[in-house]
Amino acid sequence: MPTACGHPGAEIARRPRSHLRSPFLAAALALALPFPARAMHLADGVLPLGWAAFFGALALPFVAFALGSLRRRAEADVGLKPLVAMVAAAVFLLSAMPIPVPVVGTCSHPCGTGLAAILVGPWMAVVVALVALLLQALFLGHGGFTTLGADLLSMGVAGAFAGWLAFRALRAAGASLGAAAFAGGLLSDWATYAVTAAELAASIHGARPAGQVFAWVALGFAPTQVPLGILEGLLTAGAVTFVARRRPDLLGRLGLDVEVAA
Amino acid sequence: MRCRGLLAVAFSLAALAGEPVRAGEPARWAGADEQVVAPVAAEAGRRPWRTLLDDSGDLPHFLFLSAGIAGGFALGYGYRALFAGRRSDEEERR
Repeated sequence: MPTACGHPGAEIARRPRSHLRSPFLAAALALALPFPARAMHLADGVLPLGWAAFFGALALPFVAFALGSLRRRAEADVGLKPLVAMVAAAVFLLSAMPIPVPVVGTCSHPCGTGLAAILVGPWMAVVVALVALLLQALFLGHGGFTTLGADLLSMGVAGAFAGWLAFRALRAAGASLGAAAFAGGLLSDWATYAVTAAELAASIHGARPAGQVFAWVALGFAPTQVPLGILEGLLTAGAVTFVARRRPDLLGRLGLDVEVAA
Repeated sequence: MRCRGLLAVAFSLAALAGEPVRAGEPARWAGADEQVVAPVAAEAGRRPWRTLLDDSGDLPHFLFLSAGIAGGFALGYGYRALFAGRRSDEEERR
C-alpha cells in the first residue's frame, strides 16, 4: 500500500499549477497540428447507416466499461485524469498527422493507441481514442459521427488491445522495454488498419466476396502502413523508454517492470 | 548552433520543394483514404458526406496556419513546463 507521500498521484496533486497548465498545453499541442490525414478514419457516408449503427453497438460496451474503469481508477489515483488527458492530446495529434511515404507517394498517419495502452492501460486507451476521434470529427472533418463506432473499434479497441497484448507478452517473455514497446506500436498500427479493412469488407463488399474486398483493402493499405507501422513502433519505443527514464512512476501505475539503464 | 542552422536550411528546402507538388499534382501525397477507401466506397455506391466545417479553397490553409501560429506561441510559452521541468517557487523568487 503506497503512502500518501510516496504515491505518484499524490506527487502530481502537490503541483496544482501544473494541473492548470495541462489543458492549456494539450490545447497547444492540438493547435499545432498540420493538415489532417484521414487514412483509417472512415468518413460519414462511407458506411451504410445500418452497418454504422452495428459497429456503434459493438463499440458501446467497450466505452461503457472504459468510462466506468476511468471513474473507479480516478477515485484511487488523483493523477490519473491529467495523465489520460495528456495522452489523449498526444493520440489526437498522432492520429491526425499526415506522414508522407516517399516510395508510395501517399500520406497516412500513425494511431498512437498502442503507446496510450502501454502508458495508461488498454481501457483508458479506449477513452483516449473516443475523445480524439470525437474532436477530430468535430473540428477537423477527420472521420465522422456516424462512423465513430467503426473508427473506435479499429483504432481504440483493436489498436489498443493488440498493442498492449504484444507489449505485455514480450515483456513476460523477457524482451527489453524498448523491443516490447516497438512491437506494441507496430502491431497496434497494423491491427487498426486490418480491422478497418475488415469493417469495409463486411459492410460495402457489394457483389464481390467480402474476403476478396478485405484482401484488396488490406493490400492497398500495406505499402503505406508497413513503413508507417515500423515508424510507429520506433516512436512508441522511444516514447516509452523516455518516460521510463524520466518518470518510471507513470509506468509503475500499471505494475510494469521498468528497469531501464540510466 | 551549426546543427540548428543546418536543420533550418533543411526545413526551408523541404518546404520550398513541397510547394510545386501541392500546386501541380493534387493527387500526389493524397491520404490513404483517397487511394484505398474511396475506390471501394465508390464501387459500392457510397459517397462521403460533406464535412461540418467548410474545407473548400484556401480556407483550411488559413485555419491551420492560424492554429499553427497560436499553437506555436502556446508551446513556446509552456516550453519549460513541458520539457525542462518546472522551477520551484523559491527558484522563481530568485
